[in-house]
Amino acid sequence: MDKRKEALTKVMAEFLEIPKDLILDLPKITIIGRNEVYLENHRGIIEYLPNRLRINLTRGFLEIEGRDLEIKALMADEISIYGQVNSVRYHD
Amino acid sequence: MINRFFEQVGGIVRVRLQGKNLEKIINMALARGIFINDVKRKEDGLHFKIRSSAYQALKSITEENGYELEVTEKKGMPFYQALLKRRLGFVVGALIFTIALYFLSSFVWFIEVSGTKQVDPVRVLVTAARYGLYQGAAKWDFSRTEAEEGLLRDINQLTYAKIEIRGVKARIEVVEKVMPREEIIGPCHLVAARDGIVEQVLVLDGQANVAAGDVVASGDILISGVVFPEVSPYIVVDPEQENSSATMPYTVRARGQVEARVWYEGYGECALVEEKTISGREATQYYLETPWKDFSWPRHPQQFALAEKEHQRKTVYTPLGSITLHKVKDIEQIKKVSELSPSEAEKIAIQRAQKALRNKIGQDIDSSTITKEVISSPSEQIIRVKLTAEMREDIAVPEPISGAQHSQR
Repeated sequence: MDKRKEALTKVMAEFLEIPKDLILDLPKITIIGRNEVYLENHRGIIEYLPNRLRINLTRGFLEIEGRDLEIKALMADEISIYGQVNSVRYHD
Repeated sequence: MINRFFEQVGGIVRVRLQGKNLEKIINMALARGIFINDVKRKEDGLHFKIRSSAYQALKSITEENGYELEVTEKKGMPFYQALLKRRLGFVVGALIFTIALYFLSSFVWFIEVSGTKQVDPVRVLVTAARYGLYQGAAKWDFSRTEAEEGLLRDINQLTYAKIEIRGVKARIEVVEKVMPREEIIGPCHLVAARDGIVEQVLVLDGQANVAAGDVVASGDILISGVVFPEVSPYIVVDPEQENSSATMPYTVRARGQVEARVWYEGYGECALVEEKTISGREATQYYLETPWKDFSWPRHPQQFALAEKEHQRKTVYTPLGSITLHKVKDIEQIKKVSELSPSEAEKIAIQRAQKALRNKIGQDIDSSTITKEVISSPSEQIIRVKLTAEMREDIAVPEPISGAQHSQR
């Protein structure tokens, strides 16, 4: 049922040319250089260590690996991360 | 920058969270709308910053879940309140100082007038005071434009007035009208400005009353504005037409030049025994007069047997009364008697007479035209000298014809 609803929303978004991150709650990631990651539409933090950060998403989670990672700002659906980023990976 | 400002205003708390699975508390805080900043994982737990208003909410979450929360740093205005309460006197003093400064700076304490030449600056000040601008006037009590307009209206000689207020000082800048010189337009004579012997007469308009060699006194008519037409002896005048306009006198504005020899006199004297006073030491004393008490400094000023006093005062008018600062300067006077020889005294008397002569003429004179005369008697203890300068100059000045009954052409 949920999958059918999601497919319908996707079609509608495409038809009406509305950005998908608004309609489907998809994460939007902005990476500036290697030191700054800005993520919108997150669903909380799963794990936070100086070398690894896992952030929950609507579907799956995001894993950021690096060194001296620091959460600069944390709000209800936005997160800003500073530190040396090595990889950004999606997991289901 | 703006974030920092809000942090300072709202107050910010840095905390340390200890326990297992700390991410759970972070997520719960997020769900309750608590914003978290600067999260750092260290060995002794998780360090982060929250607004001071969110501290109680976070504390209740940690207590419910068995975590340990510790405040490590407090920053911002709310935390200064306790400090300010302890130093209430200082805060009140600072507040009173600020209010007093603001209050006192809303008055005009000094007025300066510039640009006056013929008009008395005191007149400008008095007129400005009538429109509310005086020493000690509140700035909200008068209108600048109204005072400017009032100045222009009340003092006819002004063409422009500007009032500029800088802090507690008001500057009144005025520009005076340049009036054209009044010239006699109607019929007039040319009369002698001073006594003299006429050397040369040049008539441009009018009828000459004097000729070269005549002695004239001040006020004598030199060139008359009343012209009597000359009747030619070759033309026989018809007795019926004798009173026609061709033979009747008429008036004109006399023009011309009358050069005459004139004399200027200068007088100077010098006593053979002169008593001079010269200034010696100085002692200054200050007095401060306030509505409450008077002060003087120094308490025991130096006294002189013979002294000249110089008194200066400055008064500031305040709503509480006037405060006056007096500066009294005592200058010691020392008498010195000097004796001069008759020739030295004569020299000084001549110098003084020359100075007096120069002041009368208003220009340097050729010394060859000056004659010297000692008018003091030998028995006198004073030498008196009279200098006479002979000059050649135009002595004609216009004077309107009073009660002109003649027709004008």
